[in-house]
This record gives sequence, C-alpha cells and structure tokens, in this order.
Amino acid sequence: MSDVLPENADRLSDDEIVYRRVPPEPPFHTPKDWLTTANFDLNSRQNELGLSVYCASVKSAQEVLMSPEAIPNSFIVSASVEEIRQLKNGKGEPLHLDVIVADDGGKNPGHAEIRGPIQGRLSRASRKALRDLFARRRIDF
Amino acid sequence: MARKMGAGAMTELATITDECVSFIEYRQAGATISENDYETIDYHLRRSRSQSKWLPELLREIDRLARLAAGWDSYGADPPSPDMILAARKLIEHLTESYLGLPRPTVVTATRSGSIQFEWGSDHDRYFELECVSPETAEYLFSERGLRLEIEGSTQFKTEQIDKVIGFILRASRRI
Repeated sequence: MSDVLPENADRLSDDEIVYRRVPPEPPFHTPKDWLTTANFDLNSRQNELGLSVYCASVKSAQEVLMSPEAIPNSFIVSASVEEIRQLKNGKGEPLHLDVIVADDGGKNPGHAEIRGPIQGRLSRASRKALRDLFARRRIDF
Repeated sequence: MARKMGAGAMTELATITDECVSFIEYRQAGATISENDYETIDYHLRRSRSQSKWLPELLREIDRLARLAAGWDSYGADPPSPDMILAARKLIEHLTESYLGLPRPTVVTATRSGSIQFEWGSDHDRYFELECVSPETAEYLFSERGLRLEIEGSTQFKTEQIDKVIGFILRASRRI
C-alpha cells in the first residue's frame, strides 16, 4: 500500500474493474484511436490527488459514458484493480499504484481514484503504464 | 536590383528563403554572392524545404488545441495556456531547425494541466513524449521495451541538451 494514501483509505478489491472515459480524438490527434498518456495525467494546477475512474460494480460502462459531464462520442477503457496494482515501469520496477474509493461521501457513487506513491503526482512512467494497460480493453457499444 | 551578400546578411537570408525566393531568382536579381554565402543559402533552402513538409500543419494543429475549452476531457482538464501554446510552437520550431528532416510527431495533444505534449513512435515498443512545462523547459520520457529502458528527464529548449532529445526522437521513430 502506498505511504501517501489517507489512513482511512477505502481500497478497492483486486477483482474490481474500473472504467475511465476518454474524450473523442479531435482531428488533430493522429493516428486515430490512439490513447495518449495525457489521458492519464493529473491536473497539477488543480492539485488533483488521483486519477478519476468508476467502479464497474456500481456503474455500468454505459452509465459512465452517458453521464452529464461526458463529451459526446467519448469512449470507455477499462482495467482491473489487480492489474493496476501490479503495473511496472519499463525497467520492470513496481510503480506502487493503488486504487481507492473517492465517492465524496456517497455523492458520487462508484467514483474511485488511482493514486501514485507521491502525493498529487503520477510519474510519466506510471502514465505510460496506465495507457498501455487501459488501451488493451476498449469498450465499444 | 543588385544586392551585396556579406556579413550580417544571415537574418535577411532566412527571411528570403522563408518567402521561397529561389536560388536562381536570387542570381537573376544580380546578387553578388560569395562561396560562403552559397553554402548559407543552400542551408536555409534545405531547412525551409524540410520544414515545409509538416511543420505548418503541425503549427495549425497547436493553434487549434489552443481553442479547447476548460473541461475538454470531461474530468476538469484545464485549457492550454497561451504561454504553453507559445512554448510548444517555439520548441517544435527549434527542433526542426536543429535537425533537418526531423520525424513528424505521431501525436500532438493537450495535457490535463494546460500544456502541450508531442509524442513519437507509433508502436508500443519504442516511445518518446515531450511536454512543455514552462516557456523554456520541457520534460520527456523515452521508453524502449525490448531493452527494458525507460528514461525520464527535462531539457531547456536552447541548449546542447536538445541533441539528446533529438536522439530519442530518432530512436522512437526508428531512424536509428
């Protein structure tokens, strides 16, 4: 478990599947359907602590896709929590990523966050590993 | 109109070649050109030709990214800041000037923190990303799965460190 997780962090079980919405590639994204590491970056200006995902056991992929804030024509990618926890960098070293519940006291059901070992930061290696993992499982409707 | 080429003409040459005035037209205009000037003109013409292939289109793409609205990713991403748009333009122009025939980035994208990122490498074996993080600085990641190699770093735009960046770009693009 990461040292920077809150003490009362509610960690998701390994077998949970999480979804992340990806905005449609605008025409200037080349090649088409390319998932970029920028989709897995934290917004440092807004002091984000983790990367938003949704638990499949609470929200379906379709619900995530149809939520009011979604950009039309977005798509969904997914990964299991176990896979995320086991991610390694390109040198084969563990990245120590974790996934915790972040449902804002029940106001945002199913919401969770991928956290790195450094508070408020996902290293470039982590972003790339996440991109490579999520890219394997794109959900089409 | 006769024009004498000599010391101090470098800036003028760059402007002339950018406007696509050809070497022949230059001579027809009665220019007095030394051997060194020939080399300089040739260099600028080659640079101009090299850039013309994809740089203007890429710069337009960067300008289009500048128009992204806040929340463009549906998770609260910031729009690219004017500073970072300018930095991205400067960075890619500097790279193309530093290496003739620089491979075109595979992807140019906004980042969630309001910057611009370039990526090279169309497979997942070799990959290089370069993100502007300040008006003069970029951070990068180079990865080569086959060699279990992954290098993160940062570079100032206009230093010899940029040569290392060009090396990574060529490697990710399978030019070396």
